[in-house]
Parts: sequence; structure tokens; C-alpha cells
Amino acid sequence: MRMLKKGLSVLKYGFVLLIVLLSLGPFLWVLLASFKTNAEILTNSLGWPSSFRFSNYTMAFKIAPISRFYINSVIVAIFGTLLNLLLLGMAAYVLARFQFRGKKLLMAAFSLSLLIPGAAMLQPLYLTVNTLGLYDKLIGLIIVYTGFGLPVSLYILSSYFLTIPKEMEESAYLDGASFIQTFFRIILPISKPGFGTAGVMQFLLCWNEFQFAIILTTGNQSRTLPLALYYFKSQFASDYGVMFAATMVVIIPSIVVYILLQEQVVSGLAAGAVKG
Amino acid sequence: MVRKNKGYIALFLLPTVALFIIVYAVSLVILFGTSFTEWSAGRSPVFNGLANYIQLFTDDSDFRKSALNTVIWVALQSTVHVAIGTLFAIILSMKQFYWKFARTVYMFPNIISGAAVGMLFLCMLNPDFGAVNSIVRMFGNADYSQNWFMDYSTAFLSVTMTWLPYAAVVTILILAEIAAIPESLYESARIDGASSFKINLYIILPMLRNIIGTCVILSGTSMLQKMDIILMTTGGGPGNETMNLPIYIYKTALMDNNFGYSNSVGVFLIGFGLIFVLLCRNLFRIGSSQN
Amino acid sequence: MKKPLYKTGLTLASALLLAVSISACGPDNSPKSSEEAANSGSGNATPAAKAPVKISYLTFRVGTHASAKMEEEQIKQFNEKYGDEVEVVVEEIPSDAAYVDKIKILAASGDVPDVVMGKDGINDVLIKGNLATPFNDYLDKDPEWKAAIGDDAIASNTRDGKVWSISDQKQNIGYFYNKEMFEKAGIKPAETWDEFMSNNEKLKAAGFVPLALMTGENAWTSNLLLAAMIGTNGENGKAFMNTLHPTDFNTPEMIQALNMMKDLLAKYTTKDALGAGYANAANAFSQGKAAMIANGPWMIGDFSDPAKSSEGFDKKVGVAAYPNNSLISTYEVGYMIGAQTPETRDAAEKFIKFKTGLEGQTIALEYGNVMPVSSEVQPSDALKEKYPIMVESITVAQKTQLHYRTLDSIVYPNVTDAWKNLYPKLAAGRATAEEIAKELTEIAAKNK
Repeated sequence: MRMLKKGLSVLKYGFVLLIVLLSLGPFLWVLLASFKTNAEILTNSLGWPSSFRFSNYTMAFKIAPISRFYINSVIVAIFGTLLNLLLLGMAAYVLARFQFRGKKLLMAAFSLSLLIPGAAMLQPLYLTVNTLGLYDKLIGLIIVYTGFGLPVSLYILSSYFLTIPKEMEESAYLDGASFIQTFFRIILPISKPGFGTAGVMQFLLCWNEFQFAIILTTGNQSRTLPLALYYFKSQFASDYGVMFAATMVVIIPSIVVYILLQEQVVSGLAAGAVKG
Repeated sequence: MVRKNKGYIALFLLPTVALFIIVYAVSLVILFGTSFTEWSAGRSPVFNGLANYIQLFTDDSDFRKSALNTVIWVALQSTVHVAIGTLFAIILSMKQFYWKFARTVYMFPNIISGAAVGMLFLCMLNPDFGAVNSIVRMFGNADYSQNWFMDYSTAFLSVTMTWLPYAAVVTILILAEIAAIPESLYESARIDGASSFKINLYIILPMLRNIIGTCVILSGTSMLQKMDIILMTTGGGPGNETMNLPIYIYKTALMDNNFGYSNSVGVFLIGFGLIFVLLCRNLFRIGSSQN
Repeated sequence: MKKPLYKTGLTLASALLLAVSISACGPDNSPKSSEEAANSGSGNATPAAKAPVKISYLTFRVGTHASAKMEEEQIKQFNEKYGDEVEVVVEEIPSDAAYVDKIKILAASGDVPDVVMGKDGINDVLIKGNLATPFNDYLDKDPEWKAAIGDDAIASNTRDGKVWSISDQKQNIGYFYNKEMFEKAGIKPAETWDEFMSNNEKLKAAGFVPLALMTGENAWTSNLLLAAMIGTNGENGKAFMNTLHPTDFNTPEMIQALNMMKDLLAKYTTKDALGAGYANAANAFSQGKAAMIANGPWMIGDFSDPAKSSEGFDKKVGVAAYPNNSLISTYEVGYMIGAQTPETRDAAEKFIKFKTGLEGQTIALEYGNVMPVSSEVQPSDALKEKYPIMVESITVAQKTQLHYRTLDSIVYPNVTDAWKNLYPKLAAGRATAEEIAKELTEIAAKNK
């Protein structure tokens, strides 16, 4: 028994270690490479850079309109996330809680959105967005991304709502609370972990999407950060150092945002223990 | 309760329905409608009946290979990937000293956009200067130069490894759910003398049915969209070894200019996805409340 | 009890409002004038009586693209000269592939930009879709411009008597070699393919990697060699490499060349050539790992760029023509008019005329090491001094007698896209050269 326990524990630590290495390794490798010269990357790929040169980073900012794209990405990600959580929170609640005619059909339709291949949507979405007058506008991207996050948020939130005991709402109704009050005052607060995770997913989607960002915008005034990365991968471009520096510039804020948002999820986790 | 709230139900659903129509419905109609036409960029579609579908199923080896790969990847992602994520979540939920760190770090590869991850792995696995081969060389084999992405024996595996172990999304979903399990349940089990292993197996896992089902659906269907990492690393090659349906759709539409045919592949992909989702929903009885 | 509810509701409502208000200000602060996009700052001369005609133009020559500087300079100078008549609204599309995708989406929706670069099969899409305007009338009206482009360049973009695009550059492509390595191996640039192969063997024996090949992306450096092998293989090979849109790849010349390429990939190139992108191949040469790379003069600037090459590397580089005294010589597809109204068409023509006329060609040469289509445009002394290899490559080009085009410029774009999957298949022995040739034929047939 004790042997078994020890064996399990060794396995456990081995597994955790492996996962951490697999996740951190590539990131650190690129981080190191972003300080190297091309020659160093090619000859000494594992070693320490000869000196921590920031020239790759200054170069990266010079080549692409990174700061402008940054602001746009922040706006699109924040509002794309808020809008998505609000709309999908409401829909998921109703779908998880109530039985009504057409529910199955609606669920099936929403599930479809998980399956439509992106490449097949490029042209139709361009037409729709253009017709609605949202082409080359941040709100266009926000709405489209809100829609792209529809299935994932719906699944995450409704599966979370299902774990909430019905008694909680019933007692609220008994106290005379209205439908809307119950949702915003009882359900929302205890669903924080669900909203936290759905929010993280949605934020990352908005932050990283490339293909539609380039099709649905035209001026640099409404373009987002992932596009900046492609400024370094043009045909006949060969400077790895700058490319890695640009990659880091795009990645690091999302990691910071995630760590910050995660605290929200964590505080939600603590709150979650209250229910039941 | 339902009758009373009919108006509210409609009110809560309306915005999402509108969103669905704007973003998806139009695309769906165009996709489905033009799958029965011959249509290339810059010209108008011409109805050609079932010709696209007939060609698809009778005379297209790239399509068959792409479909097969897609099925394999969906299967792997909805089992192995979810299992890794779930296991990791359960380990983290014990909240040992490393749990916050490990959870954060695990998320890194998922935070980064697919194209950047692809580029990163392309460099890591470069046969010449990549980190992986450099490490192998450090351990003695000085001439080691495995071409991970372009060698037939390793290409499929290498591409798969760029996403299969990175199940942080599954982990955080399940962690959130575990946190929602009342503390009292653990306590009573512990009083009964159950080991933590047994608690996990018999008490926690069954409570996670709904969310695991959700994870299976989300992870599995994510493989129906997987494109950027593959394009960045192998481009579907060598040959068509790592081709999948999204890439095939992309190539048919934008390289061959064959929008009509591409959309018939799209319809097939949606059909396949629907079957997968329905299967999972029934298997995990998603939608029904816990207990 | 009610207050917190309203609070939540209010917060959410205000979030929504904000989102909407962003949409409102989004379009307003986007004048997107060309001046701004080109970062030139000035350019708006005296206010003209009539508002300038706006034309849209998409470019992939941004960021680290080899021609980014020349694009910026051309637009800047155009604005200085014609800014009060024509306003070019520039859209930057980083990545060549994304550019092609976007133009095709726009074409499928009937929203073609006013000025379009017709590369990678875009010209076919626009011509077939009846979305472009030919240049014939414009050229007839302006013989000076017509002369600056030259009959050959015009002919290369003429179909059924209609000039669909104006070429902005001539691509004269041989290969660069590392003189030091050649000296150590005791060889000189090959005059026949047999000599080429024996050179490879000698370089290998001297401890060098002979060729910087790549099969990823569009297999650029490898396909230049493949084109040379086909183009120098008799009359049929030459004819093949000068035909637009070949549909039959099952020719002895193609098969022979593929077999040779298989050999090169197996024995005479870097370990990462299979799947390598341009960056890998370019670095293999610039970092002194490989002795030869096939590429055009736009690469010359990289040899003296400290970020890309080691100090003094440009002194070590020589340039050579392919065996049989031959060279790749292609006119770029260049610019097309996608504009749909008479005013925008004229404005588009003005912009294209500037870019492809003598002024534009001079800028392209000085800022992008791009070969002009007109013989009147000669490199300045400053340029000659800065890049002696430039002069050398012009001399080498003048001596060659046999010319053929690049594969990318003759085959359908879906064929260009297929190499990256087919080369590894060939190299792994999963398919013979004959089978690859057959597959190429099938792929070409799929093009719509």
C-alpha cells in the first residue's frame, strides 16, 4: 500500500514536471532567441545570448505599427469579451434552466456554429459585415468575435449553470425577486468561476485572431496585434532575431493579462465554495 | 415557472439569436446553397446538382486522406487531450505548493496565437539549429538531424504534439468545476476513511460528468477548425500526410479558386461535426442537471 | 435591496454603450490618407480647388519585405507630385499569402481595389471575372510611357491583344556563390550541368554544404534551379519555361529535372532544406553555411546588413549565371486597374504610370535593388559603389544568351502551392519523378 502510494506520488510529480517543461520550454527558448543575433540563433541555439541586446525589440517597433495595433487589440478584446459574456450569459442561463418549445432546435443551431469551417466563412462574413456598414470598424470586429465565441461561452456557461442547485433561485422567487433580479443578483455572483473561464477563452480568441482581422479591416486605424506578427514574415525576410522579438511583444501582454484575469477566476473559485 | 417567464426567456435569448444570424446564418445559407454549384472567385455560381458531392466521394484521394486525418485528430483530442487536462486539474486541485505556478505556466502555449505557436515549434524542431535536436546532440549523438516535420515517420506525430499535450483549457474548466464541489462532500468521505485517490475516483470524477462532456465537445470540435499551426509547420505535407479538412477547404477555395467544391467539403465537415456533437451530448447526457 | 441590481445592470449597460460609441468613433478618425499610411507626414501641397480622387491600393510590401523601402518611397514621391489630384488610400497587408487571400475574397464579392498587383494568379481571377480594365488606350495616348516599359514587358502581360497589367520590374535571376568556398574547393561557376554536379561533389569533399535549398513556402530557391534545369534542356525545355500556364508537366525535361533535384536534396544541401522557408535558406548562405543560393538582386542588400550577414560578407559573394550561359528573366505581372468608374480609372492609371515609369523604376532600383524594365534606367554611382555585386550581376546578365521564366510566373498558383508537399514526397522516395510530374498535371487541371 505504501509502495503504491509512493509510486503514485512519483508518477504525479513526473507528470507535473513534464507538463511544466513542455509549456515553459518553447516560451523560454524564444525569449532567449529574441536577444540573439541571427548568427547566434543559427550556431548556438541553446546557449545564452552573448549580451542582452534590445536592438531586436527597437527594430520590431520600428518595422510594424505595433503601438497602434496594441490599442486596437485592447479595445476589441475587452469589449468583445464583455459583450460576449453578457449576451451568452443570458442565453446560457435560459437554455440551462428552462424547458420550452424550440429549445432543442436552438441548441442544435448554436452547436452548428462550432462546426462551420473558418475558411468557408471568410467571403460570406465579408459580405455581411460590409452590408451592415461595419467594414473597417472596430465594432465590426467586436461583433464578429462576440459571435465566434458564441459556442464556447455557451457551453462553458450553461454547463456551469447546471451545477447550481435550483433551490437557490426558488428561495429568491419566494422572497419576491423578479426574473431579472434573480439572474443578476443570485446567479451572476455565484457563477463567477464560469464567467472567469469563459472570459479568458473569449479574451484570447479576440486577442489572437488573424484571418478575419485582415479581411474585415483595411486601415491601420482598426487593425489588431496579430497582424503585426506578419510584418516580420514577409517573403524574402530572414531576420530571426527581430521576428522572435516581435513574437515576444505580442505574447507577453497576453500572458500578463491572463495572470491578472486569473486572479479574478481564483477569487471566483473561493466564492464558488460557498454554494451548495 | 416557465409560463410566467416566457417573455423573459425570449428577451434573454433574442440578442444571441440575432448574433447567430449575423455571424453564422448567412454564411451557412451561402455555404450550403453554393455547395451545389460550380463557383470560382470573381464569377457567379452555376448550379451543377450533386456533381461536387459525387466527385468528393468517388474521385478525390486528398479528400479521403484529409477526412481520415481529421477523424483521427478529433478522436485523439476528445480522449487523450481531455484525459491529460482532467488528470492535471485533479492533481492541481490538491493545491500543493506548485499549483498556482503550474496552472499559470500550463496556459502559456494556449495564450499564444496558433500562428505564433506554429512558428515557435517550427524553429524548436528545426533539424539544423532547433532546440530538440541540439539537446539530442548534447547527449552524444553529434550528427543527429531528425527532420521532425518533413520525415514521413515523424510528421504526423510532431504536428499532433504541438497541441495534444496542451490541455490547459480543459484544466481550468475542470478546476473551476471542482471548486464548486461542496467542501462537506470531501469531509464526509474523509471521515469514512477514504484515501484521496479513492475520493477523486469515486466522488469527484462522477460529479464532473457535465463539464468533461463539454470539454470533449469543445476539444474534439476544435480539431474541425485546426489550420494555422499545420499551415505554419508542415503545410499538410510531406505529400498529404498531415492534411486535414480545414486546410483542404482553404486550399480548394483560395488556391484552386474552386469555391463551390470547397463549400461541399464544408458541408461534409459540418455534417461530421454534428454527428460527433450529438454523440457526445448523448454519451455524457449533457444538459441534464447534476445528480 | 434593489440598488445592487441596478448597479450591475448599469455597469453592463454602460459597457454596451461604450462598445457602441467606439464603433461610432472608429470610422471617423480614419481618414487613411496615403500620406499617413506612408508615414511621410507632409505631402499635402496647396489645397486644390477640386477634392482629390480617392483610389484604394493594397500592398504586401511592408514590414520586413525586401521591397518595403521602395514602396514607401514611391508612394511618398507620388504624393509630393500628384497629392492634390489623387489620394492613394493605402492598405497594408503583411504577408504575401494574406494579400492573395484578401484580393480573392474582395474579387468574389465584387469589391476589387482600384489598383491591384496581379501576382500569384490574381491577374487571371480579375481577367476571367471581367473586373479589370486593359491599358491599351492609356498606352496609345502616352508613347513615352509605353517606351519606358518596353515592348517585351508589355508583350509578357498581353492576352488576346489586351494589355492587362503593367510590369514594374524585370527579374534577372542567377545565383550567388561564396567565393571563398569556391576557391578552397578549387572550382569556378559551372558552365554545364555536369560541371555543376561535379562542383557540388568537390564542395562537399572540401567540407562545405553546396546549396541553400528550401522546399517550404513556395520552394523558391529550389524552384529557381529547377526552372534552370528545365529551361536549358533543349528547345522543348526552353519552350516549356516560356509558356504561360502549362497543363502538362509529364514531359521528359520536367522528369529529368525532378530527378536531378532529388539528388541535390539528398546529397548537396542543408539538413533542414526539406520544409525550410526562405529565411532558413537565406541564412544558410548569409551565415556562411552553404556555398550557393539561387536568388535575385534584391538580396544583395542583405549581404552588407550586419543583422543578416557577418562583417565583410559582401566581399565574399560572387554572382553567376546558370549553366549553358543562361539566366532566369521574368517580367513581373505588375499593376492592374480594378477601378470601376472613369475618374478612379484615370487616377489609378496615373498612379500606375508613376510607379512603372522612369521615375518609379529609378526609385525601385535605388531603394530596392530591383531591376528596371527600361534600359534607360541605370544605377547611380552611389549605388554602384555601395553594392558592387549589383554591377556584377548586371554584367553577368548581359552576357547570357538563353533566357527563361520562373516557375511561379508561369504555372497556376495552386501548382506553386503544391511544391511544399511534393518535394518531401519525392525526397522520401514515396513517389518517383514520373509520379510527381503526373500529380502536378492533375493539380494544374484542378485550377478554376
